[in-house]
Amino acid sequence: MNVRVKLVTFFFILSYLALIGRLFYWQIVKGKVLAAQAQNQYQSEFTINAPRGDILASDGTWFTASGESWLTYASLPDLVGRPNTIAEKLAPLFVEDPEDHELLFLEIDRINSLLSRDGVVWVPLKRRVNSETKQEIEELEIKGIGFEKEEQRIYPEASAAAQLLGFVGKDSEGNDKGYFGIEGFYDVVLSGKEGFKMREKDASGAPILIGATREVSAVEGVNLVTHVDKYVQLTLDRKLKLGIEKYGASGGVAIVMNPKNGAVLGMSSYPTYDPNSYWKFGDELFNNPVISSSFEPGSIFKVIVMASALDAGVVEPDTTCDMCNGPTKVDKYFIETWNQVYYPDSTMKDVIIHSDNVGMVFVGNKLGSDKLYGYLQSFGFGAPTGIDLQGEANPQLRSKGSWSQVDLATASFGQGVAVTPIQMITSVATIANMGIKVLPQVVDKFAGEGWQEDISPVTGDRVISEKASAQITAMMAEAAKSGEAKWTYARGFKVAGKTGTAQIPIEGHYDEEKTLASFVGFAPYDDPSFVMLVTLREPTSSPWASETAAPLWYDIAKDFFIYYGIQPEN
Amino acid sequence: MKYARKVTQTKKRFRLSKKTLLWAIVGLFIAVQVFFTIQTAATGAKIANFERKVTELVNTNKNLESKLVEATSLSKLEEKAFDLGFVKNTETVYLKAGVTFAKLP
Repeated sequence: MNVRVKLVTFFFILSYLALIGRLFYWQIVKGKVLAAQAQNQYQSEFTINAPRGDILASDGTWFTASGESWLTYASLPDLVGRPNTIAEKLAPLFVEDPEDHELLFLEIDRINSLLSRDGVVWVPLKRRVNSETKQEIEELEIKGIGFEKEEQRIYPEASAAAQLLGFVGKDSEGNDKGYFGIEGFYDVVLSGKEGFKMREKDASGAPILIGATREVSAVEGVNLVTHVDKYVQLTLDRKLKLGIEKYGASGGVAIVMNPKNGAVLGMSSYPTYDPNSYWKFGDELFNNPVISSSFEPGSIFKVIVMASALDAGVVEPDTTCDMCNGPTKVDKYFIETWNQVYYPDSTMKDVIIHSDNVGMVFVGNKLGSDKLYGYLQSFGFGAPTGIDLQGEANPQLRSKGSWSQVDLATASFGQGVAVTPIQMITSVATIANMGIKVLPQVVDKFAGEGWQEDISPVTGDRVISEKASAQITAMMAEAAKSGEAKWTYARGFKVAGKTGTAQIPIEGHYDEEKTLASFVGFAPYDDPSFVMLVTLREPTSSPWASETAAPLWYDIAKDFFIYYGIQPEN
Repeated sequence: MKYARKVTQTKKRFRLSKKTLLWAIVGLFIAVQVFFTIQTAATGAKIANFERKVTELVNTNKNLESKLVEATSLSKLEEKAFDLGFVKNTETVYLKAGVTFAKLP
């Protein structure tokens, strides 16, 4: 074989080896990368959004809805231009007030530092950018700046019912999660489940129908139709705020319920926050004091104790108190009336009308601690009401058998027991509902596309007899008409109510000046449309409920009389 | 001797060989395949177009819903009413049933 043939053979062998080597490189070494690149070209994968369910008022209008916003990001390798120049362009669109130069400079600095980061490809610049701002940014035509759609929760009534609704934030993995109130309690129901779609596509991006396809459908979140009436809610919010300002209180709550089925028609507390921008407010505002704060109810608790005594048959409305002629001594303590005025031989009706502490000690003694404990448990004290809101507190009752004479005496006029406002109004609703307990309920129906599922109200057992209920209602009606808050009584309207001024316990003793003023009542008392509790914390214009909470209660109730078509007598 | 020519009239019968038949069937299948592939490809494009339209409609629907949510806000309605000069009544007068008023002479 001559040299030329050998050379050609060698060349061929070398070429084959080179080809095999190259093939090995592409198939084995780079095989996975190329396969992934190819897959990206012919396969598309995307998630199918599942919007969160809306929360609706009883009339079907929105308390919350799902809108859309944009996450603005920068793809650093694609960025064209100096970071500080881009930051100067974007910052005025990201800050609330571009005229606030300090904020603007801080924002420029923040964006600049984000865009100047090393070793990062994708940088989020701003969340919750609305569509208008997005359009303005797009008009700047900055290469490397992009947008990702994200769901935004809209609360069209702003801070109205904020603590009732809760808000949607992020969990530790960055997913949407409901916190507090309805958003927290019904988070699983409201949250949809994202779907997934994978399919092959052609060069133009159109799907190849005969190619491989995989699809998991999205499940949309369920809408919640609440019992909450927007008119009632907004009236409560507006009037409570005005009342707090008028009476110089540090805060307050107001709740309205339908005593016949436990439907929560409105629930307001102040101070509050705006769930549209919850991150700007302190954590302490997120808890709903109606369900999560406990307080000593004071004299409004007397109606519960008296109702129990009437039901137990230990007193009658005309039973006379034989110890009401002056302060009474229990153990080493003297129990006085709130105004040091005494009414000898008061009947039980008088005891409620005058809010007589001594008279209530008489009732407590007649009832005994074990019976009182049993009734309080039946009314729902010492256990959560089970309201469908996240964060309900459960103040405990003193355990059975451990009640001293002093405990019994003070509990009989509402001191030394801790209750939540929702427990208090639920127990008064029991009286208004002829003695049958109803459980508070916020959400009325689950609703989806073309379907609805009613959530039946939960009715509890009978707590007191119909007779006892009628007797205590009559006493409350008389207390509203002739008690210390009679000056603010809405004449002609059938209101049954009771004031309560409670001292605030601080570090083992009662504060001498600060009080918690409450008024609880229902109307019309013979066929109640609503039961309402108003509580003001530390009012400064007057410490007494009769001069603060009671007039506020009537001020709100007057609007409800018109709204519910309640006419005055005669 | 004259040879009589025997003329036999035979009909020409068209006969497909197995091979031809096979090719015809294969050809038909290929044509059908090509036809359906073209149809499918076109349908894919149609579907992509429909999906684009669906996305547009969903977005429009979302925007309209957002506007509806804003428009039905009772708080905003109250603000607007206040700005327009509407004032809530401060006193309600209840009339006795049966009392006549604005009676014609």
